[in-house]
Amino acid sequence: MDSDELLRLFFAERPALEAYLLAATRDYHLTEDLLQEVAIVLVRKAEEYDTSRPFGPWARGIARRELASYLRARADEAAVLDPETLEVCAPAFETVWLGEHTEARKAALAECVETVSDGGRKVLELRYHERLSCPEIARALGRTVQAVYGILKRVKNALRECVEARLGEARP
Amino acid sequence: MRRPRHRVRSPKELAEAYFHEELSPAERERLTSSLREDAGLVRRFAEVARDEIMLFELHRAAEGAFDRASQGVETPCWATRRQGRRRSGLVLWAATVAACVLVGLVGFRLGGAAARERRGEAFPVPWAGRSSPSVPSGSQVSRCDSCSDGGRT
Repeated sequence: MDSDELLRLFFAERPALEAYLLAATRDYHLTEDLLQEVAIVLVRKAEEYDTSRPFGPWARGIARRELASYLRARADEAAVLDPETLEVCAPAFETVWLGEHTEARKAALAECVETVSDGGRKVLELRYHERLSCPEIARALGRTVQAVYGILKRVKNALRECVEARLGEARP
Repeated sequence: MRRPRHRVRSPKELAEAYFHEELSPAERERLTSSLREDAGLVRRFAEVARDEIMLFELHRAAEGAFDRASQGVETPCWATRRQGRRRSGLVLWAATVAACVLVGLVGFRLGGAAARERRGEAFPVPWAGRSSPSVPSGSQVSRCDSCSDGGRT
């Protein structure tokens, strides 16, 4: 398989791989690093790919091996979900992105974030821009970790409802 | 908002909390077993993962836009401006010091000359106050033969 075709398949599969790795690590930074490693291995092993079989499971197999080698090297950081459970979830990681108007959802999310209160926005920025953990956010804001959990839960629920409402309005 | 310790959260709540909260081992175990049995929960869990990624991407895109703006326009510009300011500051400082010294010297000389003029003294000459220019001993002073007094004055 030529590299252009492989990269096309990789970018189509990327969101599902990203969700898989994020579910395994709960660390977006690490997920990005692992995804880069996966892309390198995919290109290196392009010749081994059997084009008669679906690309997703093959790519996920490589992601799983990269993840396992990382977890072996960092024995202190165990994956929260075990590999079997992740495999159960893997098809859903694909389907939520497929048949989804991703760009419309992203645009709706960007609009909805603008409607979040200042306090909620601050927590969102610390979490998703500064990439702080909840205990770190709690320290930064002088709040308890439970309070930060509560704010994030409320903001995420509000965002989900806002996005669904906007997508619902856009649907014919 | 403190979560009551005794309240047992539903698997859906656990799936929604998974990406940002530290679940207890018991909660993690319950989420794991529920995910293996409940396809609806798996779907919800995948949606939560997607929303999580979109939030990170959204904030990264904002960060990227900020970086591009700062790299493309602001950073080199104000870095250059700052260097330029530093250099022109030095030049300005040196020029000011030189101008002050010059003005001080000229003022001192002119002030001194004016004071002497008021006192009726001649314009200051290096040998002022002496009867005549000092001539190094033993040196030859040529006479002015064309002068009416033979060059004595």
